[in-house]
Amino acid sequence: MAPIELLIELTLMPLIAFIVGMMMVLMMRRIAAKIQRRIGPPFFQPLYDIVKLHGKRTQVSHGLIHDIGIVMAMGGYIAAETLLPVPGMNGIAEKGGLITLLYLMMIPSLGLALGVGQCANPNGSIGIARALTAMLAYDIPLVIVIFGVAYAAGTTNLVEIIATQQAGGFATWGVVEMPLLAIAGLIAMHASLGKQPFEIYIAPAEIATGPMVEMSGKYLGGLFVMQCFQLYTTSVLYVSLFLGGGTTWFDFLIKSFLVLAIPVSIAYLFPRYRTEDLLRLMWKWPVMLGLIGLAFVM
Amino acid sequence: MVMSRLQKIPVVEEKKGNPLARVFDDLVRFCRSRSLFILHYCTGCGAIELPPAMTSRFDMERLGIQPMVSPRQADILLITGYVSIKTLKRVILTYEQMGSPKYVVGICSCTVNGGMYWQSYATAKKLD
Repeated sequence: MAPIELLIELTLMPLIAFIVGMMMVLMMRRIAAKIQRRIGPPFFQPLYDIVKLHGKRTQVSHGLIHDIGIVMAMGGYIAAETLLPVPGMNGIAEKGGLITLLYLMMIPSLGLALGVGQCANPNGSIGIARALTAMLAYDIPLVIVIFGVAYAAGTTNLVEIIATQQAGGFATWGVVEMPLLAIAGLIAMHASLGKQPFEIYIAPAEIATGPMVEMSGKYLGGLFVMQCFQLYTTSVLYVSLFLGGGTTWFDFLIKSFLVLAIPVSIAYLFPRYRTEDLLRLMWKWPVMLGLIGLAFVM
Repeated sequence: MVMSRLQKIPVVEEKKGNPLARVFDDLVRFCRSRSLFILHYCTGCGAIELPPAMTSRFDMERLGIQPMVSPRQADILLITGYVSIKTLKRVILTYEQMGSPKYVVGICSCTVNGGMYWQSYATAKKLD
């Protein structure tokens, strides 16, 4: 591939991810509104929020690490987008592979931990401690699921995994071949989004949105951008692993929005677990399902 | 006489130049008007007005108004109810933590003229 072409792809992929991610945030808020019998926000609401936050006059910085932490939180996901193949664009997905992607998806939490650490707000510290505990909880089923898929496909190359699924049609999709791993993956994905039953580290009524408590202006705006990327990355990863990626943009977007709609619809019906309950639940059910699924794959 | 008074009002002259120069400012201003993060400081019965505004009856999210939990994230400080001398300290502390541009909205009669607490020696009659 020509370097210019690669450069264009590497620029376009995060941009598309950002736009689709904003629409995913909108969908999430609209679903919440429909469940609560409200009208919900207008179409451009996520954009209004982000532009407004970046346009605030006071920008309270708590130091250099605070700035770098936010950049890490966004940058980790932006780097992850270039490893996620979308229809027509592969970026550096063939060279990166699933394991690199898994590492890159951990960077935002660590960056947030650094950034929030310098704020020295007790609520933020509790929040970030809970976020890292939650990461410990959902990463184990996620790693089992990703290992299972990679083992079944015989490769960690995401492009090849998608190509095999598309060549064989619906019967070779991951969700048909490995249903137990797909269920475990869905639960792990739900926890990694940090949505309601697993919302231990945001918890507005308890620890005042945890990591976000000292964030104002562009820092909070950065976290809003990060959320767009987070929703996009998780749902597209799931679509690539289990639903055969996308042959065209149309079915790719439909699949990824539908996948995201499942955890989001469940989320607004439930209150919140405690941290130890989350750990117990994540290490019991998805891990058990994942291990049984792994036994079937092997 | 009215005219002479009107002429004394200072009017900020708008600079005439490139019409596109203000597009970005206008965009930010428009987004600010459509995305209001509120922080409610509830001291009295005025807080009861908020749940209907938030929930399905009036649904303030369709206008871009969202409740926030930390003063750092908020644009608007809602003070719903009476303000006593001791409360005022906390209100000012909260207000100072907010990032500008910031606004304060007093809800209900207690913040405007003391309301039913107008005889009380402990409350501020006027939030202003």
